[in-house]
Amino acid sequence: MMESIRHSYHLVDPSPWPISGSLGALATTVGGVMYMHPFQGGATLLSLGLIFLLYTMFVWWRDVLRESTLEGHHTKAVQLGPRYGSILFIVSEVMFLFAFFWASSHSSLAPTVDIGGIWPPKGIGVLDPREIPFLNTPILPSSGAAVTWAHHAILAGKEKRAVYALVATVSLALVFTGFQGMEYYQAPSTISDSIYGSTFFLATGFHGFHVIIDETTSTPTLITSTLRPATGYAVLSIFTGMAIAEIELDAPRTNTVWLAEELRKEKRSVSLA
Amino acid sequence: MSMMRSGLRSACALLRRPVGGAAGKPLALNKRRFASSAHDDEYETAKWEKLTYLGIATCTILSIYHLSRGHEHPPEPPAYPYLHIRNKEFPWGPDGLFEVKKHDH
Amino acid sequence: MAEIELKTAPSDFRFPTTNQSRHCFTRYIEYHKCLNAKDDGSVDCEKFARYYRSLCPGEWVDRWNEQRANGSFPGPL
Repeated sequence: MMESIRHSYHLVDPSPWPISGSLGALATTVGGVMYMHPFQGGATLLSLGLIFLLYTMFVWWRDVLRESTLEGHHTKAVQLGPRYGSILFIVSEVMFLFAFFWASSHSSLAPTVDIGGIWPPKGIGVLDPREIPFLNTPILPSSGAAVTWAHHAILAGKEKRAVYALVATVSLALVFTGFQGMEYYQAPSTISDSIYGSTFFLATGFHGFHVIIDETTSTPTLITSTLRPATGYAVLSIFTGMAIAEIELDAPRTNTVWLAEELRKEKRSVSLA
Repeated sequence: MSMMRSGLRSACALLRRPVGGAAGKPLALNKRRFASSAHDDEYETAKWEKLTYLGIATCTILSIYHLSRGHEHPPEPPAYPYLHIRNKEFPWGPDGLFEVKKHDH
Repeated sequence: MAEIELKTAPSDFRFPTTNQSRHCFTRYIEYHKCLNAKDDGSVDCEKFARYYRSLCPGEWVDRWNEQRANGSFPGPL
């Protein structure tokens, strides 16, 4: 069978995971909606869906690992796949966050009569940009520097250093998330406090979610690399393929998003008329 | 267009090359293809390692400074109609999860 | 018999759109800022009152008056 292959693409074998992942996603969505509206059993369906989804991720990625390390299917051409995937994901995130900036600018540049025509509305405690935002701003580029370090360490064949570098990357992201959580906890206003709270917490919340996605995708990579170097370094190389795409597209974007967020946090009052 | 052509060319080159050796030298496949220029990876590794340490040092100093300063609580605002909007119960009950935060510390 | 003169607020270049909500709100603010600036019930402020009364729906004015009494009026006074 192997003799008949004359191309470098990986034609996958039939697998149950696409349909099981779809069913998990469907159960999660329906369960989530049921949970948020007063339906019986919403929380149960949501939990089951999430468990199903996590299980699918585990077994599917296990298969991918076997295909790459044991069967050697991950040729150069195949490795481009996750890269383009990451690029598309980042591009979609850029568009997603652009919409939030639009909403925020729409609401703040000409505040409606309902909030008194001023921004920020009265009674909204505005976060001081010189406090946690100023602290979190250098943490993200540092995390970016660490993942760049990991990338070059892998290219230079220094796997140990690459693992250290990824530990630094994830730790910095975790510290960022921690401070963001602290800021949310101490924040004087909430998402249900006027359009200011809605736009602010929707945008910063999804940005935080993005950082958490980065953390959860890189942590399994790290664990595998530490526990099973032979498998792990293959994962590491797949992961860095994605990470390179992330850095090239994401670092400037993250900085822009963060700077813009800082600007948003600054006190701005648009005088009436 | 030229990028696409060069991509095709390298794909063709791949076809001619024997596939395998993933277990022996998995990292030999990792050559940069999209980088703007070729750099010495040893040098780049050392540079980015230093930059990371510098970043961590900066963040540590800033964190210590911030955490040692504490924070103040603003006074409760008057009941503006657009504050604390509640249209229905949360799935876990009538109150938000961190509603009592102003009283417990 | 004297003819009754019917007149709405003059058009204002700050509010060129068909939607005049913000015009109404601004005139309401201007009236109360004027009252605060001039001590006694001066006649200068009356024109602002005429403007906002002809521009604003009655319920809005009632609500804002109530909010001013409660100290929860959102506008810049």
